[in-house]
This record gives sequence, structure tokens and C-alpha cells, in this order.
Amino acid sequence: MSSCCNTNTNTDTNINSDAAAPITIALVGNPNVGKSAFFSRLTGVGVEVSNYPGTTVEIIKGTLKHVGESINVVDLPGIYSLSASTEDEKASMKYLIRERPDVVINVIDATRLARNLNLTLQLLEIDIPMVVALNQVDAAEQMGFKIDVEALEAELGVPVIPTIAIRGKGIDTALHRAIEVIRPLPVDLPQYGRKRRRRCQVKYDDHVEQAIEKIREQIPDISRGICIRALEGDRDFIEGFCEYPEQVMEAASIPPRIEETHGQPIKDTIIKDRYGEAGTIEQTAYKKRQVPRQFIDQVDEILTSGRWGLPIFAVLMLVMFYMVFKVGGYLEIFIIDIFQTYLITPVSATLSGVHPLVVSAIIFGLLGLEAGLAIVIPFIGTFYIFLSVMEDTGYLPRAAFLLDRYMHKLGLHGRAIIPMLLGYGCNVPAIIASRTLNTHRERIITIAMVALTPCSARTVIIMGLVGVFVGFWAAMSIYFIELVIILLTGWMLGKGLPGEQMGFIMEMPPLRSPDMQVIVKKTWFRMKGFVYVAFPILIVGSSILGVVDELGLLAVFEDMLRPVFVGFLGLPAYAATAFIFGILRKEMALEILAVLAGTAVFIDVMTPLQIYVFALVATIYVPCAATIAVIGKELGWRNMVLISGFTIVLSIVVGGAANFLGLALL
Amino acid sequence: MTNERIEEYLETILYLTNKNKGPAKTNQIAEELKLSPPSVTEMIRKLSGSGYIKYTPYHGVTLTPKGCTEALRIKRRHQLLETFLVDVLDLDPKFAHTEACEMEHSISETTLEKMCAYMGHPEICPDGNPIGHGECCPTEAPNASYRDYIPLSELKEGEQGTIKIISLTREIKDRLSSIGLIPDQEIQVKRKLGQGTLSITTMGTEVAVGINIASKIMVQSHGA
Repeated sequence: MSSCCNTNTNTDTNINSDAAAPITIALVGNPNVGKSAFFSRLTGVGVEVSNYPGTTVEIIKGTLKHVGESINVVDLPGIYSLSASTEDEKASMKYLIRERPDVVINVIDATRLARNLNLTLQLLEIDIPMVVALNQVDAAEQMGFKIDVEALEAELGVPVIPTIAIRGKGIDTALHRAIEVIRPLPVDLPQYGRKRRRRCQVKYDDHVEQAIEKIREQIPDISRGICIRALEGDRDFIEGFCEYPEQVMEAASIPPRIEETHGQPIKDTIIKDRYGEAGTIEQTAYKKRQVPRQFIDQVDEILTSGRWGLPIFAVLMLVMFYMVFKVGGYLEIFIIDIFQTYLITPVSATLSGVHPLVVSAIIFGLLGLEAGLAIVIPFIGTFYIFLSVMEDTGYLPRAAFLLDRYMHKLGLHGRAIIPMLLGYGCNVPAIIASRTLNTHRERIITIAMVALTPCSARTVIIMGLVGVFVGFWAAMSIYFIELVIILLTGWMLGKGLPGEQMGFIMEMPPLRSPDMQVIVKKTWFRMKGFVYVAFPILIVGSSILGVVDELGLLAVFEDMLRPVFVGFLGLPAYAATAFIFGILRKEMALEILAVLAGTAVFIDVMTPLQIYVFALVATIYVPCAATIAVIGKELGWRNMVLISGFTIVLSIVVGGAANFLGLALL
Repeated sequence: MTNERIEEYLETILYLTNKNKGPAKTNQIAEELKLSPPSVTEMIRKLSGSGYIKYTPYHGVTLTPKGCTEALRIKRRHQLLETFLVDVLDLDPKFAHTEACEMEHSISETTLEKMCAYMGHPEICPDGNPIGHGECCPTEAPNASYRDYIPLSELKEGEQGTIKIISLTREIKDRLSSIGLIPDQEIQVKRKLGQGTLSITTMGTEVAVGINIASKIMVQSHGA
């Protein structure tokens, strides 16, 4: 058996080869309490961590070894209570009900204990083995809370471990104690005391207690927790946990009497009592002392003030695009120079005399790599640094707050701003993020708008092509045209789509100053996706293209589309090929254009108007393959085809209009 | 004519005028009280003479302010008795109704007030209808001070209040309660934009809500 382990509980200690079945641990908690940071620290799996509720919308799994046990860790989207309403919350509940993790680590935010305890008390009721990770204890102390962890543990009746997930503090202890709850640990390991405490049970109003008794009289072997879920009308839960759900729901439907005496539905009585209990527990475990107002609170106030909020938002956006343009543009020219001087020119010189097919394959491949490095990294990297700052400081929910009123005009509300701003980074996660919206209608409108949003790959085309070779304001005018298109689309869908509307309700996380280390790490994490996925396609695709071109096949294809591209849009014939590649990945339209044009200095081969029209069409016509796929997954193939078809028509109309207007004016 | 008969008539007329949203017809009253129309007409003339009701031929009967006050008083007695019989003594609701019909005419104000206090001044009777507000009931009771509540959207930045009534769909109420916004919860408005979007703090958490929602949450204001 295990022997070597010392008091240092290292997550990497793999000592037991004949380990039993793996343990599944689920991280459950309110949104934005630090579950993802916790998960990341625990498993080493890089996941997105931000400062707004709803960062994680999918169930994420990871594995690790601890004291010889194989452990699966599951990071669940945040839930406020066991009654789920949005897609992401439903996914969490479905997991808890169907998959039944062996043990739950309930991550709670120490800065807002009472609110978080509502879920904790519900989890305690349903008899899932659990420990509580009291996260962000450092922030709570800064806010003037003095926390008595032992008292909290005594009140709740389950282990409570103070943690600071973002810095990895307390993570191992929490893991250790979570395992201890369900498996006896080897004797030579620290034992945190497996004394069986009675789990905290909320004492409800007499009428509720009577109702619980009545259900148990009818169905004897039913647990108290199930009765309470049934009284709260949580059908999904009952169906997942009971053999005879109908019978249980029937038994729980008796309480009109209670509702009448209290003048409120029994559900409200239960929730009120539970919050009451949570408040009492907080008072027992917390002492509050006044702390002086912080500087950041003043900043926060200005950011959302009626007078300064919107102007600041507008300036921030403008500064962001200007910086992407400046920094990106500078780096682009710099990288192209290096490539031409030290790679392309010497290589073409050495290849003279080799078979033209091979030369084409190699040179096209190198041009593809050049385009990737020179175009993608500068623009996408710079953009993501800004986006990460907005996410991590908690600015995104503040933007949602500021713009709520205007979003109502589109039949949406402020919450939809978050996916839309994320869409400027990449449409794929933005579309997935729309799961945090409450109704199907809101999701369709938001997703259609996101699909039209110029993502960072499209920013590469706008800034890298128009910005660099035509000018900053010409590039901004494309953003403006597209913003108008997005708003018009939203407005029309908002008018046309029937359906329910749920108002704006969103938790506002505290504002934090940005942590540069976290932001750089996150930007790199996202860039990696582009580099690993895009570069191989780009290099191989370019090489193949070189061969196809050498064989004369491209000309045939381009001739077919000549009427539209040359006649109507006024573009070079090879633009058609670039657009085809752009469906794979948007920025590839530009990279392939560079390959086909034989240079990344586009102004040598295209007129400014051609450049402008190319960028306009390239950024509007169908979103990239990944986006199309994710729309299909979220909204079904019918909506996917509709949205894609709509964008193709739109791009040709807008592009053609720009072409003719340009020809007439210039 | 006995007090009991007057009370029965007034109660019935109140019920019928509410139901009709207009005057009560003579034959309706006869039907409800299981009496012959001529005897009802006779009684109506007497009640009209005492100033309890107003009778317009071919139109029907309406209550005068005096009659209305009296009718509401009886109705409240009935509901309180019924609530007591059902909730405290656990009697069958149907039986409790018949019993209350008899008792409502003889019970004294003193006993009734004690009963009301004993049950914690209930606001809803077993049929699900609101019970009128009595003199014994605390002024905080919603029926009395409903008009004192203002929508959350009318609180100013920095002002505090207590959530009292949330008149929104079940779904939205669930969402609000899971985030900590429930009746009797103390709140403070932290931010407010000119166009109405506001954020409130409760249980150490800040929650932003749109105007459409804030205007349907009634609060009791405590000022700044």
C-alpha cells in the first residue's frame, strides 16, 4: 500500500497502482466565485477565467492523481440555486442530476457569504457528499470581514476550507478533504478529522415542515431534501432522483393551504426561510469592521455614472481599435520586412533550376507562413490584450449596465452586450456565451448579430489591409458600416421575432485593477488556439494552392465567378479564390490574397477602392466554418443556413454598392 | 327586521355587485338567499329606507357608503372565522363556511380581534381572497399601506428600502430570488442611470436590473 507520502499533499503523488474506481469531483457554486480558477489550479488545464458571471457556459472535465486516487474533476457553469433557468445553468443541473458526482466541492465567494449560502444550504439538503471551499478570503478580509472558519464549519456541518484559488492557496487541502469525505485516507496522511457532524438543515416554517411530513407519510422512504425540491416544484430534479416522480409531485401538490395562510406560494416561504438561515449563519461566522472607501470604488462610480459612463465607453472602444491599428500595423510591416529579406528572397534564389511545381509548393507555403505571422499575431494579440483587460477588471458587466436601455430597442437587454463584445474577439465563444441569455428569442437575435460582428480575424483584414494601405479612418468606416448593419439586423429581428422577453437581471462583480500577469497568460492562451489550429491549415493550404495554380486549375474556377467578382465588385479575379479560403478561417482570405498576389504589399497590385471593397465583402460574407458549425449546434441547421445565406447576399449587395459609389465619387 | 337578516342581505349584495361589476338584480338576490322575489323586494324597500342601499327599478341594487362599510365588516368577520376554523381547528373548508355564516352575526368585536391577532393578522382567507384590514391589524400590513409602497424604479441613488411585493412572472421571480431579491429584503440603490437602469446592493451583492423589472418591484422606502 501507499507508504512514501508525507505531510506534503502533492497532487502529483501517484503511489497507488491498484487504485479503486476513479473519484468524480464536481465544482459547484454561484457564477463568478472562482470555480474556473480553482479548476485550472487543480488540474493544470488552462480554462478561461474572467471577472463576470457566466464565463464558463460548458461543462469542462480534467483529471489528476492525488494520494493514489484517480480523480476526475468537473467544472460546472455557475448556478445561483438548484432552480435553473438559463441554458448554462440547466447544463449544470442536468449534470448533477444525471451523472451524480461522488463528491462536490462547493466553491463560495467569501465576500458575499449569505447569498452564496443559499445554494450551499440547498446542496446540504440533497445529501450529496460535499466540502465547502471558502474562496477569495483575501478579498473578504480587505473588505473588513473577520471570518471564523471553525464556527462556519460547525454551523454547516461539513468541512470548510479557506482558499484563494487564483493564487492556488488552499486548493490541495480542499481536494484532500473532499476525498476524505468519501474514502478513508491512508493512516500516515494528515487526517482532518472525519468526525461525523450533522449537516446543517434549515428549519422551515411549521406549515412547510408539516407539508414535508405529509409527503413522507405518503411515500415513506423519501428524503427530506427531495420533499423540499418537490415542494419548490422542481420537476426535473424529482424526475432525476425518484422512482415514482408523478407520485411525489402529486403528494407535494397539497399545500394550497399553506399558500393561503401565508398569502404567498410555499416556494417563497421556503426561499425566505433559507435566506433567513443563511443570514444567521453569516452573522455567527462573520464580524464586519468598517474599512475606508477605496480608490477603485471611486473609479467604479465614474465608469457607470450617467454623465461619464457612455463617453468613457466610446473612448475606450476607439482607443482599443486605434491601438490595434497602430501596434498591429507596426508589427506587421516589421515582420514582413524580416521575412522578405531573410527568408523568401534567399530561398527563391537557392531554388532556381528546381521543378516549378516544387518551387510553387515551397514558396506558396512560405508566403502562407509569412502572412500568418505578419498578419495574425500582431492584430489578434493586441486585440486580445484589450479584451482580457475588460474581462478581468469586470468592465464588461458595467458596459452591459450602461447599454441596457439601448439594447431594449433591439428587443434585447444589457446582458446581450457581453456576447456581442466577445464577438469582436472571436464569434465562436461569443455564440456559446449567449447561453447565459434567458430566452430562445434573445439567443437568436444575439447570435445573428454576433455572426455579423467583425471578429479579430476580420479585424486582421480590416486593419491589416485597409488600415495599413488606405488609412485608419477608412478602416473605421468599415467598422461603422458593419455596426449599422448589425444594429439594423437586430432591430428587424427584434420587431419580427415573436416571443417572450425576460428583463435585465445581472450580478455586478466588484471592479478589480488588472493583473498584467493574468492578462498576458490569457492572451497567450487564446493566441495558441490560432497558432495551433490555423498555421497548419494555412501552410498546407498555401502549398496545395501553389500546385493547383501551377496546373492552371485556379484560372478555370476564377473565370466562372468573374461576372460577380470582376464585373460587379470590381475586384481582381483571384479574389474569388481568396474568399473560398476565407470560409475556412476568415483571416485566410487575406493571407491567400497575399499568396495569390505574390506580395503582402497589396497597394502595389490593387487600387485603394479594390482594397476597401475586398475588406468589406470579406468581413460580411458567411462567417468562418467554425462559426457556422457552432451556430448549427446552438440554433439548428435551418437557422444556420438562413444566417449564412443572408450574409452572402448582404456582402455582395454592400460590396457592389461601395464599388459603384466609389467609382462615381473618386 | 333582525340584524342578522340585514347582514345577510348586505353581504349578498356586496358579493353580487362585485360579481356583476354593476347593480345586483332582485331575482339574483332571491336566488342566492333562497327566498321568494316578493319578500326580497319588500326587504329591499326597508334597507333602502334605512340608507344602506340604493334601489333603481329595472336596474337593480347598489350599496350606499354606509351599506358598503357594514357589508365589508361582515365579510371580514366571515373570512376571519373561516380562516380560524380551517387553519387553527383544521375543520373541513365546506363545513367551516356554513359554520362561519352562522357565527359571523353573533361574534363580538373583542373576540374577533383576539382571533385575528392570534392568527397573526392573516391577509388571505382559505378561498384565496384577500381579507379586509381591521383596526386591530398592524399598519404595516400590505392591505393598509399598499399605497405607501413605491416602485423600486422611483428610488434615488443611495436610497434604501425594503422589497415588499414583486409582481412579475414566476420565472423572473425565481431568477430574482435565486440572486437574493426576495420580499422583506433590505436593499440599497447603488447606481442609477438617467434612463432608469439601476443596480442595488443586497446581502453584500450588487445586482443590476432594467427599468422594466425595477418598475414592478414595490418597495417601502427608508430614504437615504
